[in-house]
Amino acid sequence: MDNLADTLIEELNCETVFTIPIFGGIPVSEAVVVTWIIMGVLVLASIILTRNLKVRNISKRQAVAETIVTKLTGIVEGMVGEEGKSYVGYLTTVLVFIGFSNIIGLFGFKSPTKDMRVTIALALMSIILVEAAGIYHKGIKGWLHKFIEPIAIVAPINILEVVTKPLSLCMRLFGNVIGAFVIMELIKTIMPVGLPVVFSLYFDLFDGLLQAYVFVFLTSLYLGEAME
Amino acid sequence: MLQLEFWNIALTVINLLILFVLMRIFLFKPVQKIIAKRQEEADKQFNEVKEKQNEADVLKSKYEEALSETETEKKKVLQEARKSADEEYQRIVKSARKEAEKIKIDAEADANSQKAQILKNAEKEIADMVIDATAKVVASEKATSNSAIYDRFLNKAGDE
Amino acid sequence: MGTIIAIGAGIAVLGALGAGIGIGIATGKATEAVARQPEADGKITKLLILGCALAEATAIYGFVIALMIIVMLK
Repeated sequence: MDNLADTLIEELNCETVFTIPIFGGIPVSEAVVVTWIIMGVLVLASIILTRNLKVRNISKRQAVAETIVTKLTGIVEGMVGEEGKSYVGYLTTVLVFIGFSNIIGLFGFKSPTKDMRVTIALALMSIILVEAAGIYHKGIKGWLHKFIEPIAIVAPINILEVVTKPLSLCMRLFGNVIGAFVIMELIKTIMPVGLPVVFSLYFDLFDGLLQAYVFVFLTSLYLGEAME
Repeated sequence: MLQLEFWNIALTVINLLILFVLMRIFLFKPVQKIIAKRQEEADKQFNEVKEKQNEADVLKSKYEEALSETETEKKKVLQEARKSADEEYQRIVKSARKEAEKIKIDAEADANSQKAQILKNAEKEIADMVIDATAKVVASEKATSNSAIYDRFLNKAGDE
Repeated sequence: MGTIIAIGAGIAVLGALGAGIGIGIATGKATEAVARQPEADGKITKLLILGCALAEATAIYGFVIALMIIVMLK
């Protein structure tokens, strides 16, 4: 049992792979390296898919690219609505990134979302985007006024919400991914062959993609709330 | 897992922004551009087709109008022809009737004159017969003294 | 010390109770909704999955805290 705990902790820890020797050394963790890999794969795939686009007589490759883009943007547009059209690009990118990060564990990499620093970064960007959208659409005055709605006495709660929203986003994503990971590890120690496949379908694929969807859904919900 | 330090968060943020820009450049922009282009082309074609349809509609209505015009023309001509034929028919019938009337009248007159002729002949014959008979009768008696009776008889016969 | 940490972690995971009850109620209501309006099946399923994912979060928080207790106090 000690052995299991040790391997678990070792798996859970994201080590610093190397240090960039500027600004007194920037540590680069495994998660960041895997993020780079994901970025590389995504960009490479999009370059291959969108090469040589034509208006008519489209190739299968182009059909795939168009289907992916229209489906993804369609999903995100359904969540943010007509008002938040300018944020669709970013939200779709986040959706793709989280989705890929959650299922990349299947290919033997450590999921970047298993590292809390990545989810914190994602949540931070979400809340910055939400507040920026609020300021952009309503002006600073309107944005500040949002804090004393519906009455002035709830202002502390509203201010607290600015912290709890990203916190819950970050913790939800991180907890789901790490929970799935721990359960998968336990199942693997019980029965290494066969059984993990079934559970991995649920925990890695379904839950991973669902959490990506939930993350983007909640962000767009907050966005809509901030803009209205 | 739970280590928190500034640099890795910053690196992730930068990574995400770079990924966003790259995805925008390499995936969303080109695909959306091509879709918009296709949409534009389809719209153009659609408009063209619509225009053609409109033209065709105009032509069709024109043709239809012309067709209906000919139809009325035809009807009119037909009606006129029928009317004239009717008139002709009436005229012919009338003239035929007139003719028939005339023939009838002629025949009647003819018959009348014939009848008169026959009557006259018969009268003459009867008169002759009577004269003969009277002559025979008178021959046995005195012819001259009985000329008054003779005249009376003649008058009677003429009245008949 | 180890035993107390384990007990603390176990108590933290009790938060999963709420998630279980919540998801149970949500699923029950969803079943009712589908029984009442079978044609809205797809929409209800989508909402249910979303709601479950959100309700699950409380259990996940408990789990994360339990993990933190174990890892940080060790």
